[in-house]
Amino acid sequence: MHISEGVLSGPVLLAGAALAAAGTGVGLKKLAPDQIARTAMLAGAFFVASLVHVPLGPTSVHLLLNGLVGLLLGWPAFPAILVGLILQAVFFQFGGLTALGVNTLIMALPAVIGYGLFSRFLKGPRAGALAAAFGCGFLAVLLGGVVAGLALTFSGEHFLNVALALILAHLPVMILEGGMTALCVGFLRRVQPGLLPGRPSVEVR
Amino acid sequence: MNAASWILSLSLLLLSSLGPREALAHRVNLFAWVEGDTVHTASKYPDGTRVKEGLIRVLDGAGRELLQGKTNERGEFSFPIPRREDLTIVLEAGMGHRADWTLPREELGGEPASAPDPPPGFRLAEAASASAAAVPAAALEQALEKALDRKLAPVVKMLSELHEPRVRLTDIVGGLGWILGLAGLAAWLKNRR
Repeated sequence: MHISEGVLSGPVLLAGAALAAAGTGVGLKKLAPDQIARTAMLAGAFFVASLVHVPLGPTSVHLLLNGLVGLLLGWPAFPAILVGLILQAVFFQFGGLTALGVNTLIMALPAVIGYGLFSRFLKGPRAGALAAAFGCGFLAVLLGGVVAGLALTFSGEHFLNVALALILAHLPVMILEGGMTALCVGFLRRVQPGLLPGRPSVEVR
Repeated sequence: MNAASWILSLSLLLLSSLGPREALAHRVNLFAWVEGDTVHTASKYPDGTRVKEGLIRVLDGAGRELLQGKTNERGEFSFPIPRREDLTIVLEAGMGHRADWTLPREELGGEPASAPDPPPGFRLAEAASASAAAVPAAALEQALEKALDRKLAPVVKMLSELHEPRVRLTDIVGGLGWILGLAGLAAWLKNRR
């Protein structure tokens, strides 16, 4: 779910960059010292996830993992995703650097919303936690489509058409992302529950 | 600490204004070459996976769509030359993956039927036909071109494979190293007070 360079108009790019910068500022401010390692880990996972192609029907899609990043981080998802996107752009030539702000917003804003909606369920019973994780992964891609559709609308396209097309095209990705997020959360619950938000952290203070 | 986070986001923004500017979304690689009357295209993702069912659109110089089609199991799509002018071939592999390839008119020309201006090979063909007298220049040239196409096909294929920069392990490790470094920087800045 990237928007390529040269598609969006200048004001949209600038607005996207400004909002992404604001989000990154909030994220860095909210980044607790003991959260840094986790943020870096998830930024790394996000950075590499785009290389994992999953054959899906006739085409192959790649993972985004923005829902997982958001669910485990909250606001610090902004800097994590921004860094991941910069590195993808520089090392793999994925996405363009001028559209970086907008793309950060497309990925990170839904991630933070997902955190707000779903993170509270992660400490609950297993089935509820897994369902919440699936919902977060699913919704993060869906809302990403909505944000991307909005960005395209302000650049002159018809919102409903674009957003619907984007969302329909990403339906398989949403399901895949939801499944991946649920899988990761299920794994973390067993192995390293301290990493999940809302759980009593294992840190010694 | 507030200042530190601003410095960090500022330096990130600065970093983002450097570096190569690619006019590509997510990357897919498209390579197109001409063989006789046919244009062949090959499409791959950077990890080497072939693009199946990718949409190929062929545009003329003015951006009008001439034809479109889907890539097959091996990421290939071939079509007869629709018009002998500059062609732009666009691959849309979904999810913002897009690549294009421009075939200049010179690569498409060379067929004597519709190329009124003689291509560079013409004089050679003429010289050859002067000695062999019996063979018409046009036929000789056509035969030459066919033979060359056949002989060069493997070279072109090889070039198409070289053309696509694949994601290398060093890039991945380098990126992870950057993240580690940034995390260290953030930790240092947060704990400095």
